Amino acid sequence: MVAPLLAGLGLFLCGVHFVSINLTPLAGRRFRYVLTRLVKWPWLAAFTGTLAGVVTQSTNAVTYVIIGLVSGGVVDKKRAILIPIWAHVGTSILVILVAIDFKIAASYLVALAGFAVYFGFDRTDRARHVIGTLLGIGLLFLGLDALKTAALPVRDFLIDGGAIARMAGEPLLLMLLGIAMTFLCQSSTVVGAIAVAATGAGIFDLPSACWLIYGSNVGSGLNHVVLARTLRGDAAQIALIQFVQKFSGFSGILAIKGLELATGRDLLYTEAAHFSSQPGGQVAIIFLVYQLLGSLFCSAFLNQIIAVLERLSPPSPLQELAKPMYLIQEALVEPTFAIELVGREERRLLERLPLMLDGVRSDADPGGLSSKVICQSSADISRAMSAYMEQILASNPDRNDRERIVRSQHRTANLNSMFESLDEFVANSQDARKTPSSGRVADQMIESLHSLLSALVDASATGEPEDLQFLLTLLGHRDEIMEKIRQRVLREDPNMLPVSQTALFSATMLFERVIWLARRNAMLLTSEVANGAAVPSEAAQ
Amino acid sequence: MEVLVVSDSNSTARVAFVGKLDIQGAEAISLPLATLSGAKRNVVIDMSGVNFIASIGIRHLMSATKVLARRGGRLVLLKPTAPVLEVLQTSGITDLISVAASEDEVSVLVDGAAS
Repeated sequence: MVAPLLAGLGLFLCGVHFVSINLTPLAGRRFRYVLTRLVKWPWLAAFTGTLAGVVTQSTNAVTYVIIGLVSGGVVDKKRAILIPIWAHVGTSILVILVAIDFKIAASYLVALAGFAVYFGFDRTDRARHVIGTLLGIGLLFLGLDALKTAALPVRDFLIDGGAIARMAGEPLLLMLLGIAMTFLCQSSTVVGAIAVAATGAGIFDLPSACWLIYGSNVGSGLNHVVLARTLRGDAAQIALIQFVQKFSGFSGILAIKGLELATGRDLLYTEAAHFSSQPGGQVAIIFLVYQLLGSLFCSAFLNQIIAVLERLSPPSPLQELAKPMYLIQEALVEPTFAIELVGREERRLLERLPLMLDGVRSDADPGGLSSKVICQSSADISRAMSAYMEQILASNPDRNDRERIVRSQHRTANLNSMFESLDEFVANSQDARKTPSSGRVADQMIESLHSLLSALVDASATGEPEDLQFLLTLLGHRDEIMEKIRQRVLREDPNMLPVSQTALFSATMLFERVIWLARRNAMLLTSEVANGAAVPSEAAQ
Repeated sequence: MEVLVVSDSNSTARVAFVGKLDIQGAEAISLPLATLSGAKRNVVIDMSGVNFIASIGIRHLMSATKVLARRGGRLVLLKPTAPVLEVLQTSGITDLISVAASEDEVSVLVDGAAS
């Protein structure tokens, strides 16, 4: 009974992973544009979320995808967060319609991906990402189907054994059963469907089935809390707001119950009876009402809820650093201004370059961020900048703006390479320090590089041709001097540890590479100035 | 870090730095170096007493070089120690600053600049 459940869960997780890793690069093009348009207005985001819930039948899957897109800086959290919130409403369609056979659609998707890979249709990056996404969606659905199928014996056992029947009339026990079943199936809609089926079969009366679905929804909320514990910042907040959605839905139901007690009138069941004469149908309607109450509450108090969640789960330093500060979607209507915003973001990245060395500099603040964190977060921002610039290009800017974007694209790619090379340089410098003689050279390179990167930041800040020329002179070739230093150290210390020797060689090569990249950046800035355009710093004033 | 004024003629100032050119050292040389490079045509710094130079120290030398170069002057570093010279070479500043191994070389460089 356990193995098929685990297999289903494994397939589901693989599917979610494939979708996340393949959808984000794909999102760099048309999809991201469509998604950013879809989340432009709250009602449209709510509609998208409902649709996503209908299609995926898994708020977990929708939540994971949105977490991936928000973490990658593709969409804004405050806009996209409504999608998983309203996906709960979409998933409740399953309880109403009960049967959509995912297995067939998922099987076709996996088959399609398999044939595409076998016959070599995955030659380009884009094709690979498309196929990976299809495979991911297929696996995700197959995993869900396997989970649900594997849960059938559990369901049958509970129904046949009469356990559910004995619990009728015990609201607390029914709620606990709903929580337990949701933990097991990882889906409140599956439990909702069971409740509908059991009510239709006459095992439960309407109130008992309702307590079961309340429990399943509370269980689903707790599932999201468990998920949130493994996440931080935006990702945790997106997961936690699903708990708020479920909890507020439950509170809404309790409020209606209180009103019923106060007025002595039966409101919920009477209203449900207007939509369906069948008890099973009424359970499904109440399930939908539960989701609507939660989603409406979260939408109405979205800013307040997010403010609380941001205090509860603040972003990690990496997430904080990885957020673009200036890439405002609304500015895309004015390409020239949008390019200036890209320039401000570029300036932010430039200023981080000297900080990459702080972890290995004796003069630096010991509490500074590691080069890994800065490198990773800057790569995220570079990706967001590239996507933003593609969007500017898609808006058909004039020739001057087009040229500026192309230069900025080159500088962004160059900056990204600098961060990667600096990260490697830091790692090799640390290894080189294992031997005093190579460590001294590493220290010299670190100080030199820091001064040069600071000079690059300064020159880009002023944008003065004289400063840029001064910088270009500083950033001449280093191959000869570095070779001399390598030979001197090896001559003076013939017993140097092999690890230090390798690290010294790598560090000196990387040092030369960073200087070359910095020179390239300075030259691109010089051509920007020569063309009369504002350099990033001037745009930032 | 100590800053010793060796001589101060009309156009050329000669100073000696002694100690480490780290953050504290750079703080100590900041004002004297900025003042001299703003007022004189040439500045000669005896670096034989400096055993370490950090990024901030190099940047002060860069700033002084820029200021002096604007007025046609130059910064000359006299007898830097081997480790300091290596840092200066790897930073590329030796392409912009004159390095002298002796007083004679200083005279040639400064007099050459003056003529």
